[in-house]
Amino acid sequence: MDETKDNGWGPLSALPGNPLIWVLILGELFVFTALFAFYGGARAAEPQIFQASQRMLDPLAGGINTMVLLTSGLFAALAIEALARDEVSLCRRWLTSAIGLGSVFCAVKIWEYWDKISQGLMPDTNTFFTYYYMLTGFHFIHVVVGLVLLALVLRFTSMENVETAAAFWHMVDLIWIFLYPLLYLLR
Amino acid sequence: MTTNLPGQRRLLQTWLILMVLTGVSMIGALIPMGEDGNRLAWTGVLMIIAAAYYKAHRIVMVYLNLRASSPGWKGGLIAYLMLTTLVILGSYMLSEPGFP
Repeated sequence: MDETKDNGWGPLSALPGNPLIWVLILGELFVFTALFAFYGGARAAEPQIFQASQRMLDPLAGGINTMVLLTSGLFAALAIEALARDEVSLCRRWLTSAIGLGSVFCAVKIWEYWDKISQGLMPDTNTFFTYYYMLTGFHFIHVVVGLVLLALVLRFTSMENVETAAAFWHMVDLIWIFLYPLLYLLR
Repeated sequence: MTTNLPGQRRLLQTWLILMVLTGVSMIGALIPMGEDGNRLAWTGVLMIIAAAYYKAHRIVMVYLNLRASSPGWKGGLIAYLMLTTLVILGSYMLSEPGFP
């Protein structure tokens, strides 16, 4: 966090990165929590269908993707730590590694989608798969946006820019930490 | 100039905790209950929920470094994490036999 940051943003000035990203982050977090609540309501209405459908997901693939994304988050945090020591090239290497693992997450997710679609499990198969594709697809879009932000700060490397991209990337981590047990484990 | 950033050692310790807790939650999902073994034991459910909450807490406090932010933001984000954890737990309980 920047000690010399302009206080014109009020309480948002106490957060890392550009304050505007936090307006987006906080909004997105509450949207996902609302979607989790809708999912819970739908699950309560059709518990057998949800339980049977959840058993068609692969908890190991989801777990590996969780570890991949959390390790990518570590690299983003290490990039900030390196930049704070004025090691710009090391910061860029960490950012590149974060992007690499983020891409692995996307590849595993695409493989999962391909696997489900090849089994005929589409968004209109049942309510569970509607939520599965909606929640993971919405999260996937955030992962792609996060990767674009990380790629941009590779070129425009400043502390505020790297903190901003990393904050968004950690939000992507945070959402997946809840999404993984909700869809894959609690069945 | 940045202040109170977590050092490499702290970041690596946090990462290790996150990896272990991911493994714990995966193991929790393997604990069966009931005659058909198709339902999760409550021990497993609590392991999964507690691991998710603590992982999210570590992300917010260490990776996002909100421990260096104001008490209001720290409290607000922790309240959000608790709310989301309760939503997930409540969602699961609502669809379990014996709950209305």
